[in-house]
Amino acid sequence: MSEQLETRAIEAQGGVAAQPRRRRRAARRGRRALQALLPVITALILLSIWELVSRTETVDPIVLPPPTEVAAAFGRIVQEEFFWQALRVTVWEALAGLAIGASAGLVLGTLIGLIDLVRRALYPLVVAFQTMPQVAIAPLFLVWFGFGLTPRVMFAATTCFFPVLVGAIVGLSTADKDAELLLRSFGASRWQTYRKLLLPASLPVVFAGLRTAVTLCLIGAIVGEFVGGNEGLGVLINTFNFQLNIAESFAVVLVLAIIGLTLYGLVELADRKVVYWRHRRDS
Amino acid sequence: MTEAAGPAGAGPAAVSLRGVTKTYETSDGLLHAVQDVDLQVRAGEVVSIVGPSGCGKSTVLKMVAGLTGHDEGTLEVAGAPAGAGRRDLGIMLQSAVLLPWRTVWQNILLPVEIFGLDRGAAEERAHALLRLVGLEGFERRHAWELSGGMQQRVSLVRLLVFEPDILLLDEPFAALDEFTRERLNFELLAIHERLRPAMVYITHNILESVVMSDRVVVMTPRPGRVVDEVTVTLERPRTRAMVESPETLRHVARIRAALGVGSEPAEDV
Repeated sequence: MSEQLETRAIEAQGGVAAQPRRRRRAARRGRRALQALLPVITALILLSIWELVSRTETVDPIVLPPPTEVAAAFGRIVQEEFFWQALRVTVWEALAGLAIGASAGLVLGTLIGLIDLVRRALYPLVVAFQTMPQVAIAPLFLVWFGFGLTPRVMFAATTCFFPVLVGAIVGLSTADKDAELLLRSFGASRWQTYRKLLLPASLPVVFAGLRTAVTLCLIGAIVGEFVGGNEGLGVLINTFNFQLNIAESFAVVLVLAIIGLTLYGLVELADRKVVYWRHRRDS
Repeated sequence: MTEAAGPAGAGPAAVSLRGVTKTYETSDGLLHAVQDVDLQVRAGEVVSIVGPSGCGKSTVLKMVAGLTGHDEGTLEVAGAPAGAGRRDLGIMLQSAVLLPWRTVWQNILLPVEIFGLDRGAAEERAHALLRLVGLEGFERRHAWELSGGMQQRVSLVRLLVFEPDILLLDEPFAALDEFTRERLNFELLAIHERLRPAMVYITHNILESVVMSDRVVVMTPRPGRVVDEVTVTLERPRTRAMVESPETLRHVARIRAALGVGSEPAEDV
């Protein structure tokens, strides 16, 4: 940003006005490419330091295996059937949790956002529930829902419920006041006002909530597995830790990061498709 | 003031306010947003309401549109008590309020959907109206691709598509630059020549109020009330030359005097 401003300032002064426009544009493109590369360079430097610290045994490589070792472990575990089985379980828990939690958040958020009585009766309770540390109730889910996938799915659902709920409530109040006035002047019914104005106007905020929810649902699934699971990537991490296969543990964490990024990317993509107007309004 | 005789002679009043008062309760007591306002608008007539901010002109419009109630007096639209959701009356605001997820075409058909009107006939009217305001070919564009003036033209088409007999215009072009505003005002006048709706035109621009209307109602704030009513003697159709004619300026001077911003030296502006 600041560089763009600088460029503009220089242009305004006529400092580079003599330069052909094409060359200036190429220079700007070059700077932008460099900016995109910066985080990659930072990551490479950090990984090199990590590698060095571990190789020189400044830190015990059993505790902190070097990145190359983690990469090798990654190569090993992806060839194992138990890894893919664990991945399927965890992704299933996370996605089922997201579907349940987000739907519940959307429905309840809509009711709270639209109906005053529901807001007064329910919202304080929901907030109270949210302020409670949810990890603390994870063990209870085992008691309530047994030892299958259900407790972990339900826990994932609980973690991603709230951001979608808040997104729906806040989103419903963001509609343009003049647009509401206009619809009222047409004599629009409550349903018409919701369907044609409040709902579409709320979508950008709902999607912001969904983006938070999609990262939370994975956390929920893993925490659920830590607390009491017999399969899944969280269980795998625990097992590798007990065996002191720390490189494998790191490799599973890497896999979780990839899953998280993929899920986030999918929501982002859906956001751009569904709420297309938000991304084009400023252009 | 109370005789309020329009130039058109007899005919049913499109809008009729008698002794209309609206008060708000504030922390320092009752605030008269609108006090004892009489206003008659005949079918096909253009009446401007001019005044500074807070004089209650927008409140009058919202009451006529049935968007807010009144406390005293009688308020009738086409002989029936005012209320929202009437097909014979439409309102246009200072912002175009085009829904960003809808195309120009879908925005225009919004009232058609809500009123449940015949779609085929409405689409024919929409095409004709878009041609009239010079926006043919923009049907599939979105609001963010249009200039402010074009957005207000779309907003005007959305209003005209359900053929209201009464147009309520709340400073419709006030957010636009002066050149665009004048052009759109004359486009609006041309549309009025063709369709002859009754129009209530709210503005804080005195010159605009004179050029646009058959009568100008002058309002002042605290309490919001009518202090003068000026019958505009300019001929129709109005032309751009009239904007600076001596006759126009005479009307402007009278309205300025009514508003207390007349020839005496201004203390602060």
